[in-house]
Amino acid sequence: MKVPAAEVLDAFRRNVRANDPGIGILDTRSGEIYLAVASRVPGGDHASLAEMALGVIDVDEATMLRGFVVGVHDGSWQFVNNSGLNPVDNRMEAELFEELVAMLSAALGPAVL
Amino acid sequence: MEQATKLSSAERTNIAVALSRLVGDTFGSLATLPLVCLGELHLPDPEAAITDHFNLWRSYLVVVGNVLRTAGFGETLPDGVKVLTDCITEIRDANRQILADHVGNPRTAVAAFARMESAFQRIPGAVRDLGMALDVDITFLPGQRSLKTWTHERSLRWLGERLRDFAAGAAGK
Repeated sequence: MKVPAAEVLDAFRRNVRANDPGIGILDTRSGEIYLAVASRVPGGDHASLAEMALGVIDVDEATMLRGFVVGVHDGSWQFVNNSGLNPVDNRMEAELFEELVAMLSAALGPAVL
Repeated sequence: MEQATKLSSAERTNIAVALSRLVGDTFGSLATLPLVCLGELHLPDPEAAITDHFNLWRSYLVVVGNVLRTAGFGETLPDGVKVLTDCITEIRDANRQILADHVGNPRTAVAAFARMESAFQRIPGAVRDLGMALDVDITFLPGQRSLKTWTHERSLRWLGERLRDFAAGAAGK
């Protein structure tokens, strides 16, 4: 799993708001993480982010993608394991999600809005 | 088709862009609003988040209405505009109801979900009807095998299942 580029993290921290959450995608093939504030993505959903970031528009191309949501709650980042991209009950594999949260929490630093 | 002849190419494009954004943002809200309504994603003001989404959707229909009025349609807008206005209003109201009632009165929330699901299902047909009536290109509508359609259906189904779980849990107490 690869931490997003510093400028992506900076833009995310600058633009995310308590009432305007972020969405993210993990490409399990490459380990790349794509992160954006939902209101800054046309449509604001994982499928639109997948199209924008990876050019993926068909279901068959998306089997290796996983999605999550990032909010800010009580001064901390809040990661939600839920997306229509995810395989079972809209959730990605628990171990994968734990690794993702640990990596992104460290990369994002404190949630100061 | 008589109405369509009143629209210029630029006006048709403006309507297509507005409808495309309406469809994208309405269905796209299924990535986050269900989580907000069920309290899985904590926002300081979830009611305001629902209203913000609705205001954005409505702004696209305002654009459609303004283009049509400028083109000489007067106040008699095609039926599809009213259908879409009703759909987004029902989705907003259902989100509010689910937010308010999913714990304390889950059966009411399940009923609200059914109205929401119906409203989502009516949107593509209303857009197609408008496209036909106004000769507007609606190829932006996602196909059945598209990732957007697939993820939106799964998010909607997930919300319905959670609400039915809440209702079953409440009935078992």
